[in-house]
Amino acid sequence: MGSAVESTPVASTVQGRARPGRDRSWLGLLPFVVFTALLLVVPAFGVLLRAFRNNSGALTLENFRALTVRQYLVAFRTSISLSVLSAVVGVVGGGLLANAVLTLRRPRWLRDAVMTFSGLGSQFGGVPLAFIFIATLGASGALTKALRSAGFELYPGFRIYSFTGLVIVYAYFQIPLMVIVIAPAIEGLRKSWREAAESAGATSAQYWRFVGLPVLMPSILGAFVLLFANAFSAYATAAALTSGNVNLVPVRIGSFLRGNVSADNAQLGQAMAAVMLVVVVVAMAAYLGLQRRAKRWGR
Amino acid sequence: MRRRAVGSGLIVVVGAIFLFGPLVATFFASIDFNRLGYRFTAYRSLFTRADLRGPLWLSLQIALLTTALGLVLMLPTVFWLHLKVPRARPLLETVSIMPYVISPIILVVGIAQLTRSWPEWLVARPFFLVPIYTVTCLSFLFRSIDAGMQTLDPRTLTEAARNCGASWSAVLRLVVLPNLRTAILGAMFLSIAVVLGEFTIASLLLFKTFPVFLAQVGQSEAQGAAALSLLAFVASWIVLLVFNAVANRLRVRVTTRAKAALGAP
Repeated sequence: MGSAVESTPVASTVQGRARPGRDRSWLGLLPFVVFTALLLVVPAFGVLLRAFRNNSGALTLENFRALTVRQYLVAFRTSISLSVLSAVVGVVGGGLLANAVLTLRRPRWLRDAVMTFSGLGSQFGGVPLAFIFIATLGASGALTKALRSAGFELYPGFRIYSFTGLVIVYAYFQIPLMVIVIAPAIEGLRKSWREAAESAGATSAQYWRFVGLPVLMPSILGAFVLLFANAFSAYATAAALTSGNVNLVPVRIGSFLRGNVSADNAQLGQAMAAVMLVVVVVAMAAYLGLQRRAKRWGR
Repeated sequence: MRRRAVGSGLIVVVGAIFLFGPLVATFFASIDFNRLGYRFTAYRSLFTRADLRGPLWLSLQIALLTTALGLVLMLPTVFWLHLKVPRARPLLETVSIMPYVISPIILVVGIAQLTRSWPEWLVARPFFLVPIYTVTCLSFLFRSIDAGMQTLDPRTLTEAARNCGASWSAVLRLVVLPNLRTAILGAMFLSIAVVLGEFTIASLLLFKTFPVFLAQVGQSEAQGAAALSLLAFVASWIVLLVFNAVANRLRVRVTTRAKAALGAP
């Protein structure tokens, strides 16, 4: 790509930020701004711009048209289903777990263990996670063997390196992430609301249906979008677990990048990455918007 | 009330089984050599196998350099934010969530494209990863240091120190840094953990770091991969617990000291 195109965003950011009020103090942020511009903004804009260029650098939509081939459409569909499904599992499982952990007062150690673990588990992914699940539910995993000796054969009906397997594995970081994200919102539910509902004769189910869930709804939706984006951009676990068996967008992008592919394929990878970037940007914008709404009920 | 507690207890138990069960299963898988019975060969061989040392050492070096670069970049920046340009907060907050949006897989596409024509001697060095990883750690670094600064009130402290005739470097060295110990420690641990686990960027830029090595081992050695993955998990777990303990202790000490410094005339 031409260097002129790349240097524009940097220059404009730096000057744009340094100018207000001719205030010299903004200059103190210059190293940070330059650094992040070079390593985040420029590469991201590079992906976006490059997706609209052909081999010789002329503007084109050809790369996106090339993405409408069946195998790439399937990749998007699979990625989106996986992200939605694992986000639903995460929101429901993590929501229930967070609420249960916060309701439960007695064995304090259990509660602390689950909360600390969630902090770690939400960040834990990548290659080790893939192998932990291969060791558990793989063809010769410990759980698979235990079930086998109990007369219950998982394979070949189930495979860990399948779509279903990925949903289970992703749940391992989605549920903890949900716990972390939603716990403050659940704690923010005022006790007096519950007491008011109970003294008015409401059952627990009625309290949740008419008070708890409506109040939590922006937080829950926000968490869902966050979990969706989280799963949608996850690469390492899927790559290590499935070695290409499941047709996912990040895995496709990775193989475009790693293969000594022709230039066409490189641009296809850029276009795919650009679509992915737009999806995540929209999701994160929705998340931030919903979070702002959720704060209205805040204490 | 009692029914609710029972239901909650049940959910927590199920959740705990889902979260801890795979770790237990992984432990059994790592010592289960089928017909040979149970043995700890996979763990013992960690100390002897030569092919592990290179990738692990490389990952450690990159982790330390990334942490150092991250602190050198973010400490003065966040300090400056609090001291001189609080108006810049939205800018810093926006930038610091950008690594979530521009995920590693997108970032690596952009970086690969950008550096395609760069000279080999620069791009093929593993330390090329350091600035890239610094960017991926940005939000941890920012949030951790920012939280530390918020409790510290750097403006007052700095003014006090300057009035006493301290130079700027003395202010940073003797006043700001010691009070930020917890925040700095937190930022360090988190970024080391992130770098030690990062696979996407390293593997696609063809560097053989620890996670890339682990992925290769896993193709052929089931027990070895299980043992290494379990250790990676347990190690980050221990680091987190130690950090929590240290942070709690330091918080007490720092607040008493800050009170003493600010409160007494």
